[in-house]
Amino acid sequence: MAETPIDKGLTSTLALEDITMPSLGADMTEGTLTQWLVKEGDHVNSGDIIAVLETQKGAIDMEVYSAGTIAEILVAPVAKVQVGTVLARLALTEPSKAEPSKAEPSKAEPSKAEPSKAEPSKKIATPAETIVATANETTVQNEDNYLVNEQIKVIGINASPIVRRLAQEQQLDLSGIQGSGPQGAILLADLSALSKPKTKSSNHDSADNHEQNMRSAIAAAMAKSKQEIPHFYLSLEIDISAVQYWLQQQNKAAPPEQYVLLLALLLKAMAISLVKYPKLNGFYQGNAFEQASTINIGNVISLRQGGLVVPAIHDVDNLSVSELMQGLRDITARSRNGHLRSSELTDATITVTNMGERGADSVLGIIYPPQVAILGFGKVRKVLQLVNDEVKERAMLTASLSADHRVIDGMLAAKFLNHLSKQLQKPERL
Amino acid sequence: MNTKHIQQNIQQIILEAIQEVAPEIEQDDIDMDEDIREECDLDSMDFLNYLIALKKSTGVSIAEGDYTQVNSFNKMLNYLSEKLR
Repeated sequence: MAETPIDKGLTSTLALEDITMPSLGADMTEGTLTQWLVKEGDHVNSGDIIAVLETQKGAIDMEVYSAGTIAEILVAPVAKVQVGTVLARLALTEPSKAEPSKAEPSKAEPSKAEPSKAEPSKKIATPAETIVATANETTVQNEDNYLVNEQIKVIGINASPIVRRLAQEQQLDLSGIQGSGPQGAILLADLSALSKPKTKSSNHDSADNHEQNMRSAIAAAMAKSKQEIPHFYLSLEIDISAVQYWLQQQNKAAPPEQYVLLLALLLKAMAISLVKYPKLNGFYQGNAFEQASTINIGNVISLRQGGLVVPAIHDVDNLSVSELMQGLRDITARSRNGHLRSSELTDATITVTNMGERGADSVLGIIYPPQVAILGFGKVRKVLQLVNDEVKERAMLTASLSADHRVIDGMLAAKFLNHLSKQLQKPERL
Repeated sequence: MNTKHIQQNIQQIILEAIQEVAPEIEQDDIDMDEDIREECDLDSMDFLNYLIALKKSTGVSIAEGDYTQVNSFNKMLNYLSEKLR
C-alpha cells in the first residue's frame, strides 16, 4: 500500500491512546489524581511513571503502558474521578508492538484508508490542513477504530466526553456554561471553576468516610466473587522442618538485607508448582479460562490504616529466592509509605494470603476475580509426629487452596498442593 | 553531656527507622521497654525493613543472633550506643 510520508505522519500523529484512571483491584471504584509528573508534549516510554494517584490503597505511582508523546492532559490535579475516566491522551510514536498491523489505516477503517490507496492525491494534497482540521474538530480515529475526544452534542450542549462524564458524576449543570473550546464547546478548564468546591470537599473526606468507602468497596468486590465464583477448598498439612532448618543455616549470620523469610520459599515453591499445574494461574473472563503466560503472585498486605492491598511480584518462577525476598521486602515497604506502581496492582495472576504471621492456623481466602485461585498459609506449628515409627518433633504449616470450580477440579487442586509440599522438602533446590 | 547528646541522636535515628515502616507512629506511642514489634504492629517483613533502615543510617548490621538484644526501643538504644561508641 502507499507508504507515503503523509500516511506515516498521520498514523504516528493520530494514533492516540487514552490514559485512564486505572482500577487497582476489584475493590477500587475511584481515585484522586494528585500530581502530573509530565506535561503536554513530553515524550514517555512504556513503564514511565507519569502521575501520582491517591487511592484507598495509599499513594500510587501511575505508569504509562505505551511509548509516545503526551498529547493532551484532560484532568487537572487535584481531582477525584471514577475508575476508567480518561485523564490524558498519548500520541503513540510507534505502532503498537503487539499488533503492528493495526497501525495501518486500511485496517482501522476502510473508508478512510481507501482514499490514500485509490485517490492518493485527495488525502495527500493538503496534509497540514488535514491534520489541523482534524485536530480542530478534535475528532480522530484511534487504532481500535472508535471515536475519541469527540464533542458530543446533547440537547444543545456541546461538551467533550470527559466534561460530560465529570458533570454527570458531580451533578453539574452544563447548560449555563459558556465554553471556550471550538464552536463554544465546554472544555475541562471551563468546568474547573464549577467543580472546585466539590473536589475540595471530597478531598477532605474524613478518615472515617475513607474507611467506610474502602469497606463498601471490599464488600462489593468480595460479595461479587462469592456470588459468581463456585469456590471449593482444599487443605494440606505440609512438613516444613527441612525449610526451617535451611532458613536457620542461611540466616544465622546474614545481615538484614540478606535475611530470608519463610514466605519467600513458599512463593518460590508455589511458582514451581504452578509451572506444572498452570490451570491455577490465569483469568476467567467471558465464560472462558485464559492461562497466564507469566506467574505474577499477588501478596495480600494489610494496610496500617485499614483495608488491604495486593501488589504482585512478577515472574516468580524466574526469580531466585534472594531476588524474591528482595521483591517481598520492597512491596511491603512501598505498601507502607507509598509508591506502589499501578502495574503491580493490576497484573497478579494468582494471590497468596499469609495469615501465619498473625497467628491463624489456616485461612480459606476469597478468590480475587478474574483470578481462579488463592492460596492461604497458616502459622508454623511444632508437633510430635510419627516418622518411620519414631516420634519426632516436626514443624508443620497448613496450606489451603480456594479454587474456582469452573476451571479447576478437586483432583487437580490436590495434586497441586502435594506437588507444593514436595518442593518444600528440598529447600536447597528452590 | 556528650554521651547524652549521642543518646538523643540515636533515639531520633531509631524513631526515623521505625517511621519508614510505620509512618504514623510517634515517639509517644511507643512504650520504650515493651516488644517493639507489638508496640508498633510490625510484621516480620516490617521488622526486617526496620533493621535495614537502621543499617543504612548507622552502618550497624544486626544479625538474627542478636534479635533478642534489640527487641524493645530501649534495648535497641543501648545496643546501638554500644556499637557506635
